[in-house]
Amino acid sequence: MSPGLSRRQLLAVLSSLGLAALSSPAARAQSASARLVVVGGGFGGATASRFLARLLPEASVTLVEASREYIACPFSNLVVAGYRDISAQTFEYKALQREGIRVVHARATAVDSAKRTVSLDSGSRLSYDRLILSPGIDLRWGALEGYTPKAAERMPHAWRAGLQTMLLREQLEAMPEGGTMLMSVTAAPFRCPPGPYERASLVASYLQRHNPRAKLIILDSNDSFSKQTLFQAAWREHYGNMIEWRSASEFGRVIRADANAMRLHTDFDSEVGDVINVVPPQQAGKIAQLAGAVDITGWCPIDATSFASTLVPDVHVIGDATIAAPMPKSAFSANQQAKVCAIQVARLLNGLAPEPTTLANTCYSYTTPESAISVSGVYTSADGQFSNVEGAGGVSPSGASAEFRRREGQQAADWFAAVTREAFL
Amino acid sequence: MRSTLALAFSLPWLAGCGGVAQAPADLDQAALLTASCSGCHAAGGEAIASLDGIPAGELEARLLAYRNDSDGGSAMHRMARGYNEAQIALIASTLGE
Repeated sequence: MSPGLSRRQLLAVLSSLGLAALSSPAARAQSASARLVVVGGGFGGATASRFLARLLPEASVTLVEASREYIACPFSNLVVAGYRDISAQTFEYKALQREGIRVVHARATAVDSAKRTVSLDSGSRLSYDRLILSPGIDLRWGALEGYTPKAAERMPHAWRAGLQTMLLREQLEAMPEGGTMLMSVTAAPFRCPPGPYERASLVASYLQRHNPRAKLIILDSNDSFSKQTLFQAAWREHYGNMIEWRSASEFGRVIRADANAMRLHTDFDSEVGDVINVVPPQQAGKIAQLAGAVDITGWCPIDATSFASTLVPDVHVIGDATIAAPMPKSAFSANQQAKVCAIQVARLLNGLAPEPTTLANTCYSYTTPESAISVSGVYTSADGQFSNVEGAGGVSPSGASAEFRRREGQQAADWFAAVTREAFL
Repeated sequence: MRSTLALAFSLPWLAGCGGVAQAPADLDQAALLTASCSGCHAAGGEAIASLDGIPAGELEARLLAYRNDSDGGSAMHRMARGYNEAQIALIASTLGE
């Protein structure tokens, strides 16, 4: 061994040369004592913790998550529209603790990638051999002029589930008869690409029953959106003219929010709303920024095979925080990336090179409380980045029967039950 | 799962001197591919089938039917088209009985 080369560097070199097998005794010793820290207890982080603990039973796995409860975003649009209780969205970490995962309820405040430590707001510090960041999104307060945490109390985003979800629901219920709700949608990329349009659908369903003369205007910073043809057909079929969508090029782009006046300003005009929901500009969760794992886009570049950060050594990033396009920022993607990342981390700790594979995603969106549409994709991680597998994926058939749409609604419910069980229960 | 993995590590898993390391079962391509399945396919679903107790041959036939049915519009049809026959055989032999 050359004196300037640590065992860890040698392992990296060997593994990059495909000679990892030679280092296996050392690698096995490393895997046995490995300290693995996961930051962020959402679909990505909870799933990653569990799979790391199963794949590497001798390693120590620590999950750092500030909240004692996780409130899930998927299905929270049903809560906004009054069709579901928030308790059905709420999950704890007890099952993870029972499996030997150390769950630390603290906020990660810094990452020292040279010393391989994570600092917590409790004052303690965790050492790691591999760090998995699954921090989700941060809202870029002020990136939309006037949209501050204070403004969000009058104009909820409800883009992180919890009190904001309930606030939007209460405002919808209190909306004057025949009133107007505005939705502002930020420019892509953002968490849950079809989410704003599912929300519009379910809000319209609520209004149709309780406030049928009300109107919903979507002011969009995009010119097209996920499952657009299917959504717009469903809107016409179920809600008549209740939903109006203004694209960016039809002057839908919101440039300023005035919470006191309950007014959204677009390039040449403005609209007043009785209820205003702002899906604001977003970026990777804060600890990813503090760790130096984000690039100029505000998101985390990764090697798609291993989910290793391309910016910080020994750090992997999964879920909404990553640049993984064409994989969307979805709970489905985060859950699956977590499993693949856990396997790749276990491979690395066992002296095996990460291996490219094929991943898939399906995002269901409800267009009525019972019926859903979906978009699927299949992706390869062959070249260090994700690419679509040709001929696969796509959206639900247009003109499908009501029974087909109801069946997709049931599939969505089955997915939510299965994925939350895999992550939390 | 733990005992399988422990066994895999306790056995010699070098394929010859300068050769390629044989990954333990939980870390191989089959494990990577089937990571796509478990987020939906759990026992007790109404509209998404449980995979428990399906013979490997039948599972492979079902996946190939999804893949080759060009009229099929379900999410499973759309995803199955992204896998080649070798991948489908590997998935079926891993998840099937």
